[in-house]
Amino acid sequence: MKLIKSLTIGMLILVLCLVSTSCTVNTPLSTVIPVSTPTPISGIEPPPIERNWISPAVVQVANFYPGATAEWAIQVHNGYSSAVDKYLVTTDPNEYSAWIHLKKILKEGNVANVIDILSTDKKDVATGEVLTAISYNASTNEIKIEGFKPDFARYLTIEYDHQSSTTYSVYYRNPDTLKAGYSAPPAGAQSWIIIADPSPVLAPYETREVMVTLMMPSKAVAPDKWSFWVGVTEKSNAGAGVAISIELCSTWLICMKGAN
Amino acid sequence: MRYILLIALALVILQLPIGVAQAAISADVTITAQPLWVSISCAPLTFAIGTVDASSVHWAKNDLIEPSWPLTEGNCTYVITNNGLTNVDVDIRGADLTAGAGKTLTMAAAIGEDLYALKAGSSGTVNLAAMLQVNKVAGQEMISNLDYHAGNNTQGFELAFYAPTVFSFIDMASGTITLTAREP
Repeated sequence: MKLIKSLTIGMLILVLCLVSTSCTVNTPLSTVIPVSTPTPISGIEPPPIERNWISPAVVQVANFYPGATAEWAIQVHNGYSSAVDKYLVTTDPNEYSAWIHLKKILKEGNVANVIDILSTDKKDVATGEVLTAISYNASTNEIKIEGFKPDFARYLTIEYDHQSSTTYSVYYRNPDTLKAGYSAPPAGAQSWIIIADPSPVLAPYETREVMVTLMMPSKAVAPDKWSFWVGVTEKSNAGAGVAISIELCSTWLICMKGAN
Repeated sequence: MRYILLIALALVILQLPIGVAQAAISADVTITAQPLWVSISCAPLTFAIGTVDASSVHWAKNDLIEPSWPLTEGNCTYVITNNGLTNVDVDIRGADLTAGAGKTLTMAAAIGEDLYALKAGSSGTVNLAAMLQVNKVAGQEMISNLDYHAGNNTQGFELAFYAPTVFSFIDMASGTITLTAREP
C-alpha cells in the first residue's frame, strides 16, 4: 500500500514536471495538424496513374520564426512506361547473335514482352529479317538477339515491358525563379530542411509520402519572406546517349512572423 | 530520494522521453498546401548525334535515320506534355555533356573550348540562329518559363548540336538535359 502511495506521488511529480517542461519549450506542439493528402478541388483531378507526379505544388508556411518547426509530406507517384535501353553492339566475323543485358527486369521473363529492337543501320540484318529476341536468361537478365550482320558495329535500341521498381531522389533545391515578394533562401537554409526519405524506391503505380521538415535554428536569421524548392527526379541509369531528365519541383513559401 | 527513484522507474516503464518536445509544427505556425499536382513527360527521353553535312550542323534526336540539311522540325523536336490540369512552367538546362565512350566525339573538351554548342528553341524554330545556346557552364539555363497551360498542355522544343567540324561517325555523347517543372 505504501509502495502504491509512493508511486502515485512520484507519478504526480512526474506529470507536474512534464507539464512544467512543456510550458517552457520554445517549440510546443501546435494543434494544427497538416492534412497532406491532396484533395481534388473543383474540376482538378490527378494526372493519369501511368504518369509520374508529385503533390502538393506549393506549400505555404506562415508565422514562422527562429527555433520553429514545420513539416509537410510530399507525395511522389511512380507511373509506368516501357523501358528503352541503348547499346553499342559490335559483332565479330561469323557472329549473327548476341546476349544483351537489360537494365530493368524483363516482365515475366518472357521475350514476348520485348516490344521493339531497332538498329542505327536499317541494313543491319544478315537474313533480311528483323532483329528478334529469341531467349531470356533470368539469372543474368539477358536476352539473346539474333539476325545481326556479322563484323559490324551499330547502336541498338531495345524497348520492353519491365517489372522493376524505380528509385527517386528527393532533395532541397535553390529556386531558379522567385515568386514576387519572396527572397532567395538564406545562407545555410539547406541544413534546416530534413527529407525523411531522400531515395524512395517505388513500384510501378505506387504513391509514397515523403516528409519534409523545416527546422530553423533559434539563432538563425531569414528574410521576412523567402522560398525554397523541393525537387524530385527519377535516378537515372542511362547509358550511352544524352538523357532527358525530368525534375518536378514543389515550391515552399515561408513567411516569417511579423512580416506583411 | 525514494520518490526520485520511483520517478526514474516510472520513466523506464513508460519509456517517456526526458526533456524532449517533438514538434511537428510549432505554436502559431500555420502551414497550408495547394492540393495540385506537378507532372510532365517528354518524348523522346534520349538523343543521338548524327552527321548532317558540311554545314557542320548536327541534328540531335533519337531518330535512327540521319536527316538531310536543312533540318526539319521533326529532326530535332521533343514534345513535353503537361499531364495535369493546371499550368506549369518548364525550364530546360544542359549540363555536363561528356564524351561518348571511345568514339570520335569529345564533348567535354569541346564544351570547355566552346567548340560545340547545344542549342534549343521552342517548337518550329528550326533556324539555329534563333535558338538559344548553352556553352560550357553546367546548369546554364537555356529556356525558361515555357508555359504549359491547362487545355493546351502539349508543346514541343528543339535541341540541336552545332559544331565547326563534321563528324564522320554517328556517335552518342553522354550527359543530361534537365526539364524542371513547377507551379508558375
